[in-house]
Amino acid sequence: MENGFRSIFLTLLLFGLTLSPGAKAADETDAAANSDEQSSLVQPQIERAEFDESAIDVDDFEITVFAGMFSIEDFGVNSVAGFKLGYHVNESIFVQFELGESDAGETSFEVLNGGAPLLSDDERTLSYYQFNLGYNLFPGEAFVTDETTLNSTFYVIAGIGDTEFAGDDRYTINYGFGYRLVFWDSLSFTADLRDHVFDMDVFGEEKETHNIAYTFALSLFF
Amino acid sequence: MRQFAGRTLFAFLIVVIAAFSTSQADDELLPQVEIAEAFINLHSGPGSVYPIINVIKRGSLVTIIRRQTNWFQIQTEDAKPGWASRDEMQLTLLADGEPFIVTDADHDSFRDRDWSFGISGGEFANAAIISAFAGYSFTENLAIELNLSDSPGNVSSSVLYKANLIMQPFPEWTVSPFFSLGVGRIEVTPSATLVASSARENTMSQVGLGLHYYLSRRFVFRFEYNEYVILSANNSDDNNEEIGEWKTGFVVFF
Repeated sequence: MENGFRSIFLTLLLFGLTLSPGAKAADETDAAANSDEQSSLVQPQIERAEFDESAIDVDDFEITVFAGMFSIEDFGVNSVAGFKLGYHVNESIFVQFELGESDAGETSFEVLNGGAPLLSDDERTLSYYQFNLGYNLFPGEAFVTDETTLNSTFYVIAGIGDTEFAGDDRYTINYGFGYRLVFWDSLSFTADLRDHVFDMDVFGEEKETHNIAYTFALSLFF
Repeated sequence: MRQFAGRTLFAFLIVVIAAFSTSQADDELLPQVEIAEAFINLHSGPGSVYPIINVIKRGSLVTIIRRQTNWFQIQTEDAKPGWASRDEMQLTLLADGEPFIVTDADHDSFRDRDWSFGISGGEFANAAIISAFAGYSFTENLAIELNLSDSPGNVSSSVLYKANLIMQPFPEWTVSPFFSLGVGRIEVTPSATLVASSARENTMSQVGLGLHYYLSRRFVFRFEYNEYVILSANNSDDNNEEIGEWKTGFVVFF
């Protein structure tokens, strides 16, 4: 009988302890911690989309249009225009294919002589293509205003190609330097100065000519 | 002609700008990664020389805007942009906690290539030569290539068209030799100032050997030496011309 009382008493005590405010609070913290853990596991997955590496826009190619002035030895200074397609190998090195066209003017001889043209209109059109290798020598920044800073680079460039002029194709090497200003995201502006070296024999005798071109260009990375 | 070219270029530029402004409009689904290292550095431009303008701490989420060579333009949660290197990006985590592994082309991808394009320059019969070529690989040992070459010389200029079979017996080597066999046509145009000579066109065949040297990502260096036999029908002493050629250049593969 005494045992029976004792067991009832103990059961009540145990029941009371379970319902005591302290135990309840402990339970609640457990539950809260549990739900915290759950939310930290789940939430980022709701915020972030499925990762797809191919969704990253890779901008290693560059298309450029340019225009400027071309000094063709003996034929005066004339406008030149064309386009370039470039590929950036790494932060320093880029390769480029360039196409350009210019119309040669008249030589002093033709002007003074008056009327005996050395070349036909067709032959007077100079067109060229080049494969170039460039190196970003001094990458940096240009402080345009107090607020605006643009990335820039001074680069050196050289290449080989073919110049068609005066009815002949001539092997041409070119070298020079340029300055690039990156306006925003993928649009940039460049100023470029290049010497095109090729042989010419319009005056009967083979000679090496140096033809300086300075051009301004707009380009887009894609 | 000049005006026409100018207008064409202008129109082309407009089209390109339009195409890009639309393609960059949908930026809601840009991929995000979480910084797992203590911090990563953000540079002001895509290169290690550009100054560090921001440091992002562990646990931050960043959005990848675009990639240029080995640099990623990213944006922090408070919309600050900057450039992080490929090596640092490799230490970030994806949404599922897995590391972000940048899958770039490597030497194995060169072995498994389908298409390749290249340019090279060198010497052909004591004149300069410039070539452009496109190739398709059937297996890792065998490829076919179409080659267009231009050799502007002072006395005459030549244009060469040829198709080649390229055999690469050891594709797994970093410096890998190859053999080539080709057939094609050669057009020789004499210089405009030479009188009384006319252009001629002949069939030719070619054997050659060369080396591919894998550089990085999608770039391979190439050196080759070729021997040409030009089947010149109008040759008075009935001998075919034999011409040697060497070239160096680059191959980009996909």
